[in-house]
Amino acid sequence: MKKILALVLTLILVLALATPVMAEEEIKLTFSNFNTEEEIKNNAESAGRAWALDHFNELNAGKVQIESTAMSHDDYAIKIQAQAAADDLPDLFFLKGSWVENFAENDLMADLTEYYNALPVKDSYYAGEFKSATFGGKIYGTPMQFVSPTSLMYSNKKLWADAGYETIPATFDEVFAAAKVFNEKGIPTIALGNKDNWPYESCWISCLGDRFTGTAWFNGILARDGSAKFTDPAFVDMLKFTKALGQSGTLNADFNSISHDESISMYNQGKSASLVSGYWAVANIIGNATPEVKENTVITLLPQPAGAAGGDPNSLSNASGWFVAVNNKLEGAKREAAIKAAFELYGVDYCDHMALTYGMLSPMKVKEMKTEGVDPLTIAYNEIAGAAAASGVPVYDVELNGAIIDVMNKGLQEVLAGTLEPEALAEMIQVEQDALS
Amino acid sequence: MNERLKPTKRIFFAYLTAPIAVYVFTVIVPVFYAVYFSFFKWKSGPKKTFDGLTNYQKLVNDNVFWSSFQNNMFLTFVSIIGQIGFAFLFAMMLNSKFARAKRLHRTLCYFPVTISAVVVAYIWSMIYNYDYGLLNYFLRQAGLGDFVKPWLSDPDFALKFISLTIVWQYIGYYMVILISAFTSIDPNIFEMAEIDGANAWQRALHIALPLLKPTFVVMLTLCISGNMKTFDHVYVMTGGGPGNATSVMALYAYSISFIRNNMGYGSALSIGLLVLSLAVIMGTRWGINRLFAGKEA
Repeated sequence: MKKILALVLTLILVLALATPVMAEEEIKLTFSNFNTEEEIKNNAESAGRAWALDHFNELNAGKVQIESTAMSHDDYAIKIQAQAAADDLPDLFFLKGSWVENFAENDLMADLTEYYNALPVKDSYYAGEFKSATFGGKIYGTPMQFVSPTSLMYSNKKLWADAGYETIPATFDEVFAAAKVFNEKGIPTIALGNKDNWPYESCWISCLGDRFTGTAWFNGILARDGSAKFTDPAFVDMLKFTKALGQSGTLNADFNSISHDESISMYNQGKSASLVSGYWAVANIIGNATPEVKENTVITLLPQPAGAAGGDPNSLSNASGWFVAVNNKLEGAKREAAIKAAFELYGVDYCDHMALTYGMLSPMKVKEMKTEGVDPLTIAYNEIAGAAAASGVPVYDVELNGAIIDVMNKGLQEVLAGTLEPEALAEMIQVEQDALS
Repeated sequence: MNERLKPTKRIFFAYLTAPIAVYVFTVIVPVFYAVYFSFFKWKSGPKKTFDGLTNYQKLVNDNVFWSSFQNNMFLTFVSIIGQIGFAFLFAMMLNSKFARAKRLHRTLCYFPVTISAVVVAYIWSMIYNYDYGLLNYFLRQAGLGDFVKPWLSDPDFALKFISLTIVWQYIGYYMVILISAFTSIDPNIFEMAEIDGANAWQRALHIALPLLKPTFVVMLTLCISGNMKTFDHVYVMTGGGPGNATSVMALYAYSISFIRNNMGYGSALSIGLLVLSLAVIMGTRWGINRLFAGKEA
């Protein structure tokens, strides 16, 4: 009896050990991102990305599996920089446009150009989707967002009507005049939360800068060929406008000490007449605003500042700022699998899903968009964003080097507060630009 | 201690190796690495090119670094007066025979020290909030509505209000050190002085202070080094802003390293912070020794 039992157990053991050898090797890819549980609950874009990950793993069960590690947005940026410095990046990771240059110079990302060129669906991508992930003629990341605008004005048309404005003003001079009326009522005209210093630059300057300088100037800055400088009159004029804005009484008094989210909250509760923010505010307003604010919200382009003559008065900056990149150290079958995953993860299936489930725009053009049951604000946003998709007006902090952006952002806080002169800031930024060349 | 019960030197060292190893690995080794990296041009990614003293030359000419150092010195100065000063006052009060519920006072005073700096900073930034904060609420209620400002937005006031928060949080820490130091003083000395007619002020200045000199030196060292590396409170309350008005050295090194992706220069800044902190601490100790040298003679 004992002998038979021993034999049976040995047989089971052998079979158990032999099974992995008989099965195919499953490729596991590590994937770092900022799609946290909280984000998934709070916004549709993140929920869609979570779906895309599960969908990919389902389709590729047994062959390729992606293991995702998520952390908060701010923590993510720091951690990836640290991992990059230590040459210890995961197989797949979220990549920001402004990191591409530094990472490319360190050969950290795989070159995806060949794979992109061979892609049958590549014409379905919106124009400019890959722009920020391209450096030196090579593509280093796959897009995961629509070329989304970051400079939209959300206005409460009822509050404006009560102040005597039936339509939202198209120039800032009119906005400054309206500020006097709103200040008497005790509410700021436009809510700004610039404590973390990026909102003013990302949501206002990217667009207004273009209105003063035109896109050719910006491309000159990117090219670093000396054709454009931050000390050029057009850019300085934009900084002078910034100073005037800060002193015009249009913004809430504590604009440098509240965060961007708090400024959206202010608008949501009807405590400000307008808000300047990006595409992310749509979901926030739909989810958190009072019914009265939601009903009365209209989306318009930013008003035109006085003296802005260098660019298109209707320009709207947009960007596909985040990408999925592949670690350059991968080799062989794993590298192939990772590159393929990078394209498939937020590819055709994801785009169709976003369109049909949420009525939202995504990196590729889709055949059908859901409109029934979709909030009118989303539809209004889709219209404006879709119309500007090919504008090519860049978002500063997606394209420019992180060092320039940091000096610019901090300096803008001071110019808005009136403690730094526009010309002085222009020189400081140019010094940083010169240091990079 | 009974010679038989005392562990051998070998056993002492054996027990100490583990914590010392952890300390060396997490504190000492990174300092040496920082010194090493500060001589390189290192921007995001593993490539480093040897650069000599370029980073240090940049540091010497960096206006933002020196204004951050000024901010650190301001915080240190306010903390020495606020934290150690008030701690001494409270410790003297708790040491007197008139104090009741000493334990309760001690616990309540020490409680803020145990809370995370991030939480304290966040709560205080809510107090300073322009629209909803307690401070502005009380100002408005008291009819001083004209004085209401966005405190943390104002470059002139932001650092002062941050220093208030830092002082508030750590008074208890120094108070507890002083209370335990007081127990080492023979209470008879105070009683004799009181009999001789010395009032509380004279007892504090001429008896407590000189006897506690070693403790004060330790507390000053802790206070200076702690304030030289201030990060959490400033990061949460203003992020160094508006602009660089409330920037402190540690925060500047952080933003250079991780936001401007210049880790070589960031390392140089960290070493600069270390050198300046040591200089200030040494300078203060030398100053105190000179001050008390005369008195002891």
